[in-house]
Formats: sequence, structure tokens, C-alpha cells
Amino acid sequence: MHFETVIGLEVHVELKTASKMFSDAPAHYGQEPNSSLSVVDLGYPGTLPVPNKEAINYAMKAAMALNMDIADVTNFDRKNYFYPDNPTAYQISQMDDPIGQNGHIDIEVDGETRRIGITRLHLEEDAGKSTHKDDYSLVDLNRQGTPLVEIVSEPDIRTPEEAYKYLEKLKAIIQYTGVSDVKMEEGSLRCDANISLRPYGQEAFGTKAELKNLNSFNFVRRGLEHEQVRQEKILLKGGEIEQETRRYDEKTGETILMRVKEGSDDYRYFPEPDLVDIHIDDEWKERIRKTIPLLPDALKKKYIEDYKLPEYDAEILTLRKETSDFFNEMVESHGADAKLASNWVMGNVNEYLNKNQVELADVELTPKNLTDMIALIEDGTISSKQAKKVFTELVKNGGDAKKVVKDLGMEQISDPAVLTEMVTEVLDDNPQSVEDYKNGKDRAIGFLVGQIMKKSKGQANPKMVNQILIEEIGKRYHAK
Amino acid sequence: MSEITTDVVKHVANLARIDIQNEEKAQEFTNELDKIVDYAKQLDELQLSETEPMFHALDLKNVMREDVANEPLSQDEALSNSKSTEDGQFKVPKML
Amino acid sequence: MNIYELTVEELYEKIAQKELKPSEVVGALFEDIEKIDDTLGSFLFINKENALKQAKELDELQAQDKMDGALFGVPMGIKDNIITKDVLTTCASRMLEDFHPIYDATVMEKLNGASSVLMGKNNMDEFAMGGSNETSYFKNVRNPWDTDAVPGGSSGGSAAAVAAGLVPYSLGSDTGGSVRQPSAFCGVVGMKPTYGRVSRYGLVAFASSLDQIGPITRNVRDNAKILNIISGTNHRDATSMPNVDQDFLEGIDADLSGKKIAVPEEFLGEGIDQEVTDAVEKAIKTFEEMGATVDRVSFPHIKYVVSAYYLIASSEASSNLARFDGIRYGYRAEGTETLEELYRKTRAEGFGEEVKRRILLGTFVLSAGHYDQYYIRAQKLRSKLEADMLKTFEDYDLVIGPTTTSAAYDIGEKIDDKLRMYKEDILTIPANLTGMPSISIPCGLSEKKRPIGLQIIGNHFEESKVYNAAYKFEEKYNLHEELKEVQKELR
Repeated sequence: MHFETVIGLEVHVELKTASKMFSDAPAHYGQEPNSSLSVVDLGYPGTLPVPNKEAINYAMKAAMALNMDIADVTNFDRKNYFYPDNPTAYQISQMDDPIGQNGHIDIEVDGETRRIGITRLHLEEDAGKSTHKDDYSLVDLNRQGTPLVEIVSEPDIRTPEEAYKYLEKLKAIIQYTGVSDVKMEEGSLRCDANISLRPYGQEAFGTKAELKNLNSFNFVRRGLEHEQVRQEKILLKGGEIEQETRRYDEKTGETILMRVKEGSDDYRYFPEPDLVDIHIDDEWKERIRKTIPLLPDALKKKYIEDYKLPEYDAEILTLRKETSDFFNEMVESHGADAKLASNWVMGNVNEYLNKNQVELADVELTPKNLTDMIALIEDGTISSKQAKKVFTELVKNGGDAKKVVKDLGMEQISDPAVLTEMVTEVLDDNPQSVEDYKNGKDRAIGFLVGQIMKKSKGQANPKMVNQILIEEIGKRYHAK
Repeated sequence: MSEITTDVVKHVANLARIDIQNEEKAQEFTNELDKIVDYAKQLDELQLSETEPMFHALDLKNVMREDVANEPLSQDEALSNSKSTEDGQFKVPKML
Repeated sequence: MNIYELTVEELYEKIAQKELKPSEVVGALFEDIEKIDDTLGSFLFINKENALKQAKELDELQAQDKMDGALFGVPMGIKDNIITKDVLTTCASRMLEDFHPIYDATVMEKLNGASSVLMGKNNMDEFAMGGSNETSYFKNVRNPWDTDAVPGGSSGGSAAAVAAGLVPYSLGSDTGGSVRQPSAFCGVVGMKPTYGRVSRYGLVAFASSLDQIGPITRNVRDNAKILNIISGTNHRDATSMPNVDQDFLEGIDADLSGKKIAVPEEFLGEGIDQEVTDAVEKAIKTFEEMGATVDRVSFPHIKYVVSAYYLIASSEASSNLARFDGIRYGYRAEGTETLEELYRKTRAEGFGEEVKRRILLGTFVLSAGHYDQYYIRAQKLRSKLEADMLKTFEDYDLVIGPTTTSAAYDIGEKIDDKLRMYKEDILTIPANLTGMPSISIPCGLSEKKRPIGLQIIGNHFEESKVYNAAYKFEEKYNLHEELKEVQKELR
């Protein structure tokens, strides 16, 4: 690269309140269009907005989790623009006095910690959705008024990979606070990216392009990678970057021009006259601060220091709150060994979830039954190979680990008396192999073990079989 | 004279999404707005740098509602005043 | 007994005493409306079928002695920018010509709950923008005192209907004087309460930070009674004032001796008609005779209020009226092929000239590069004015002056000079910019026998003081008999 890349991200996160930001219509709705609206959401003349206190609490909580300064006085402004999914022709947002300012998060890139600044977090209302047909569009306003926070990063991000890590971390933090589902596929997290290039050492920013339609973190990374190259080519040829909005095309992996920005849009912001100032005193701030759980960074530290997990494990386990909650319960409530629990959660559990595109909440596996299953492996009741089957059963149908093992008829025979009897029978039936073993043919032992396993229909505890077999042969050897 | 010209009026009409029928009408609006804005320049006489703007008539704060959802309107009610709907949605001409 | 002459309190009493049935009252007033409102134009449309049906139901309740509601059987008119569920609400605009609201304004819930009967929706200036009722898309309103004269605006239909005895009361809305100025022109009583006293929920917004709903009645007691019913905290309105319940009739007849009244010299100076000044000077004497002391004070920022008001009100209006786009309700231009065309044609055809003018002005004020110079400076002026007035209220109970610069003028006389018309709001605007309560009551007649209004302004939430002074003044001077003559003549 000849240039330094400068990236800033704007992330929108929907808050999961029961009702909308400024109306009492439900913030959750089904497929039926225009069925989750009050007259306020429809922008009916004469209606007035009243802010949802919980949404303000949630926004504050998110801002605190992102290490931001919380406003003492915050208020709302109108952003005026015409669009069919914006029924009042203004969006109630926050301009000069957002709830949170001046925050940061730390990300790990190539083993180094990078701190990315967050300029601001503000509350606003979501818009409806329009669907475009050939020569007309249809508008469903259900989403109108859903509370939304916009989180704007500083232009501190230098590579597409950092952008990816920032998003991953941001998502994890917000998810831990519980204020949003942060699911990009469902639209509860959305991201726009600003990217520009500048010669190394230059302080002034280059002209930026804004990327839209970035529907996954991977697409954000790829879109930025493509845009980085596109801008570099233009600059190397002595060209100039236009200030424009570009759309990422998932099929081609390229960014495509949407529109050139002519000056800045004139949104005619002014203070929302229907709403009054919100004063946030220390008592209120403290009340919210207390509701913030241990966040990924703190949890990660705990896993490394207290549970002696490798950093890699700690990182993966803390990416999603469900994962760390599950892991915590295994270790803290059911006494699972941290490393064994981590291996299973990071390994088989994640693999299953990814492969089947489901979440922990959707499967029957519980911290308790997984812990029990691990214990059964450890005490030799089942083999690791058998454990895979048991795991599948637990994930799909749940239940008590011991009972599942029994029902599957795979409980290992570990009773020394029973095993000794089997060993004796096999030794009696195969004198030649015993003879071979005595004569130094170690392979004979494998054959004998195989016979025993066959006799036990595979349920004999192999470790114990080996032990008893050698003992029994030894006895016969000495007897002679 | 204020900064109101027919170009300004046309720009503003564009922002407000109001067609101005013809040049004559544009000129008329220009003349009227010019007089009003010109008159409003009297505010420039005042020393206001130390004065806080008063956006609200009353000094109210922290008016909020609890997060309780109530029964929404039915789709029929929501669409009842619209002149153009399709499949339970508001229908609008194509966007360019 | 002429039903049309009866006040709110008299009607309520006579119905309560079973001297009159609700259906008789409603029926008689509909007859009057049908007879004379073709001339006056004070109603945009009447709610006859519903009202008669409701009146019949009330008759039955009356027969069973189940008369619940502080306005049981009392008819009302409502300005057509107040949302009435299932009853056409047009704001006197083509834009809402066929708009059937699916909810009720908070004031309507309260009045319906008090068993008042909605007779119809009163004419007004389009979207409440105007001072003469000449900007109504549908028709002009004529002044009952003189049908050549304007009734004032924007609540011209409400004031004219009350003056003419077509309804005993109506609600108007006041953004820069729209209740008080037509009340002055029509010789009735109009109150703009403290901002936040009456919920704006269901009032089609013109300028959100200035709008207030207020009652228009033929006497002061009726006015206080209606305000008692429509005021109160509303959880649907973040600008409604919490916990200010009050009975405005209580102490309304208290002695005025010892009260201190201020008269701003700017209210009686240049630009005010001599006959108006004379009537107000006489009113001042009346107050002095009643034991109040009256001093001249100065509000040095009065001369800037018209500028500040038009910048602020138009800015807020440009945003509030942006929702009228032809998509979800209201007028929709035909034959448009693109969304942009739909917006531009709908709004060009749906709004009248005055509304467009103010939207354009407001859009300009808020647009890039002008916001600080115009909008912010206007809001700062508001602080200055409030400071002047609050300082006065440290020493005085009330501020009085004329409501308007002149008595009602002729229809068509001033409509072509916008700025001149705007400037006439100078006396009513201060109460809106500061949110203070202000009433207009009759205090004289002009040479042409057109009423002159006296304005009484109180400090925030001091409506009781305002009503008290207005009531005591009304005892000394009123136009009740003259108004009855006017009403008789119209019939």
C-alpha cells in the first residue's frame, strides 16, 4: 500500500424495548404490514411524541459500556427530510447534546491492543421500510418509531480487518448489556462505513466515500478491501476521489456508485419543540451503571487469570454473551473443569451451532448435562468416541447425561469382576495368543483386546481391559 | 433588500417539496418573503451574544413515559385515510 | 326565552332543572345555524345527525335523572384544527378536505366526557395561518356585528359562531393571537391559557412551542368553566404541565383593591388606533375605580416580537406541515408518475398561498447558513422578552393593554399587504412567545359599532388572577345587551 487507510464506522443498533421510542405501539411485530402502529407512528396530524424512559436507560447503558461520558442534559432535535418511510417528514434524533460522547473500545489485532475512539452515541427513531416494485413502491411502517442508537466511531480504524474486529467487539459489548439483539441478519444492527486514503505522514484526511448495504461483518471487511483498492488505483493514476455514497454488491464483491454528494444534505435540524430536556443526574447514572454486567474484556481477563485459559479460548468464549453465560454456569454452578468445558464449548458446541445455523437458546443442551457428560468421559463411563453420540442426543433432545448414556446402551463395563471373567474366558479360548505374547510378540495383546471388546459388544472399558489382561497373563505366566 | 432572490425561493421550495407554478408566482413569493426577511433584520440591532435562546415557553424537564406497549391500530385503521394502498401497504409512485 | 341567548351556565342549569331538554337546545341552535350561517360562514360543516342522536340519548338520561357531566347537554362548536374522531377535520384546507380522524383530541375526550354536544366544526384560517379568516380554503367568515367586517382569525369561525349565538362556546387555538384577536373583533371572551395548561394532543400543530387551545365564550365565568374542564396534565403530551389542577371559578369575584396592574407604554403608542387607545384608557380608569393601582411600564423588546414570532412560528410550521404528502391521509395529486412529483404537486395543490408562504419562510430560516442568524436570534429575543415580562410580574399582578391595534376592518381591506397584517399581531404575540396566559374581553365599541378588546396578561399559571380581573371588569362593562341586539338582528 502506498497510502494509509482511514475508516470510520456508523453503527445503528435497535433497542429491544417493549414499546416504541415515542409511542405506545409494540416495538415487536410479525409479518403483517402496518399492524404495529399508533396514530403517532403514522404521523397523524395533532399527535405528539413522548419519549420512552427505558429506551433512554438502554441508550445510557450502552454508552456506559462503551466507556463514554454521559450527558448531564440531553435533548432531541428534528432532522427534516422527505421519504415515504418517514411519516412526519422528520426524524426525531439528537444533534448537539447526544446521550453519550467520547468513548472507546479496545480491539486485538495481530496480538496488539488498539484503542478505537467512539465520538458519540445518540438516540433516534427508526424509519419504516419500503419495497420497490417495477414502477411503484410499497411502504410498511411497522418499524417506524423503533428506538435506535447510532454509534459513531472516530476515524481511528486503519484496516478492513480492524473494522471487522471493532464491529465484533462492539457487537459483543452491546450484546452483553442486553439492550439489543444486535443481529445484523434481522436488522437490529446495521453498519455504514466511511473510508478515505491519505499519503503516510499526512495529517489531513482524504476525500471519503460512504459505503452502504453492508449486510454482514464479512461484507464490511470485503467492501472496505475493495474500496481501498479502488481508491488507491484512482490516486495512483493522479485522479481524485469524489465524495460519494457507494453500495456494496454482495455478488461481485465490488462497491457501486449510488450518488455523488453535492455539498452536505440540508436536514434543517432544530430543537424538537414537542419534547423537553432530559436531565440525567448522578443518581440516575449510578442506577444504570449498576445494571451493567461484566463485559467481554473483564470476563476475558478473568478467564485467563482465574481459570488459566489460553487467551484464544478466552477471546472466543467472550464473543457472545450466551456462550460465556453457558460456560460460566458449567464452571461456577456445576463444577466443570474450565479447560475441558472450554474445549467442548469452543469445539463441538460451536461447530454444531454454526453448522445448523442455530443458537444456544435453540438447542436442548444445558450447562448441567454437558458438564455431566464430560464427567462421564473423565470417569471412564463412556469413551470420547461415544461421547460424540451422547452429545448429539443431548443437543437434539436434551435430558440427563447419565440416562442418555444408559438409554443408548453405551455405558462402559468397568466392573473389575465382570471384566476379569471376560478376560479369563478369552485367555482360556486363545492359549496360542497367550503363548505368542510370552514369546515377545506384543501384537498378540491387540488381538486379545479385540476379542474381549467383541465379547463385551464394545462396552468394556478399554483402559481397564488392558490393565486386567496384562495382570491375568502375568498370573498365568508366573503360575507355570 | 434581504438575501431573498427567486433562486433562493426556488431552492427553498425544492427543500419543502412545493412546486411553484410559474415565474410570476416565484417572483411574487420572492417579493413577499423579501419584505418579511428584510423586516426581521431588525433583530440584528440587538446585542444577543450573552443571551440563551429560549426554545420552549416553559421550563419543563424529564417528561417521559414508562415502557408499556398498548394495542396498536388495526391494519385497516392504519390505511383508512390513504388514497392508494396495496397488500396492506401504502403505495407510492416509483422513486428515482 | 331565546335559547341562543343563553350562556353555558344558564343552559346547563335549565337542562339540569329540566326546564329544557338537550334535544330542544340542540334542535333550536341547528335551526339558527341553518338560517343564518349561510351568511356568516362560521361553520365549515355541521354534525347534525350525530348531535341530534346524542341529544335524544341525553334526553332519556335527563328523564331518568342520570345527568352526568359538567356540560350535560350544552352544545359546542370546535375549531376545525382540533381532531374529532370520525368527524371531518379539515383545518380549512384542501389538503384535509376529506380527512376522517381515527382518534380524538384530548380536549374532545374531556368535553365528550362532560356530555357536551358537538354541533359542528368552526371555520378558520387555513391551518390557523391568518388573522382575518380570509385564508380558509372553503369560505370567508363574516363578523356578526357587521357582515362587511372580518371576524378576525385564525379562530374566526369560533368567535363569530359564539357571538352570533349559534353555540354558547367554542374552542379555538392561539399561536400568535388566534383566540384573542377574533374574540376582540367579535365582542366575546377568548382565553389563551398558559402554555402547557391545556394539552395540545389532537391540535393540528402550527407552531408547537406557541400553540395553545383556549375557550371562546360570551362571558368570563363560562370561559373559566370551560377551561376547568379542558385543562390538565396529559401523559400523551410531553409539554403538558404536571400537577396544576385548579378551579378557575374559585375567587373569580374577589375584590380588586390593592391589585397592581402594569400597562406597557408600547401597547398604547404609535400604531394603535385612537379609538382603541381611548377604550383602553377608560378601562384603566375602571380598574383604578375598583381599587387597583395602574402604572405605566416599558417592555423595550416589544418592537421585535413580530419578527421573532414569524421566524419561529414559520420554522416550526415548515416542519410540522411536512407530513402532508398525500401518502397516508389527505389530498393526493392525481396522475403523478414519480414520488418527487407526488410530493411537489400534492403540496402545491393542497396548500393555499398563505400556508405556502409560511412554509417557504420557515424552510429558509432553518436552512443551512440562516439558522443562526434568524432562528437562534429569534429564540434569543424570546428570552429577552420573557425577562422583561417576568421582571414586571415581580412587582405587578397583571399586565393590561389592547388586544388589537384596531377594531375589525373590512373583508379584503388588508389581505394584500402581508407584512402589514403580520405586524398587527404585535399585541398578542408576547403572551405566546413567553407562554403566559392572556384573555381578551370587550372594553368598547368603535365608531362603526365594532367591538374593541381589552387584553389581560398574567404570569405563568396565573389564569385565576386573569379571570378575576376580567370578571370584575365585565361587571362594570360588557357588551351583553348589544350582543343580544346583534343576535336578534341576524335572525
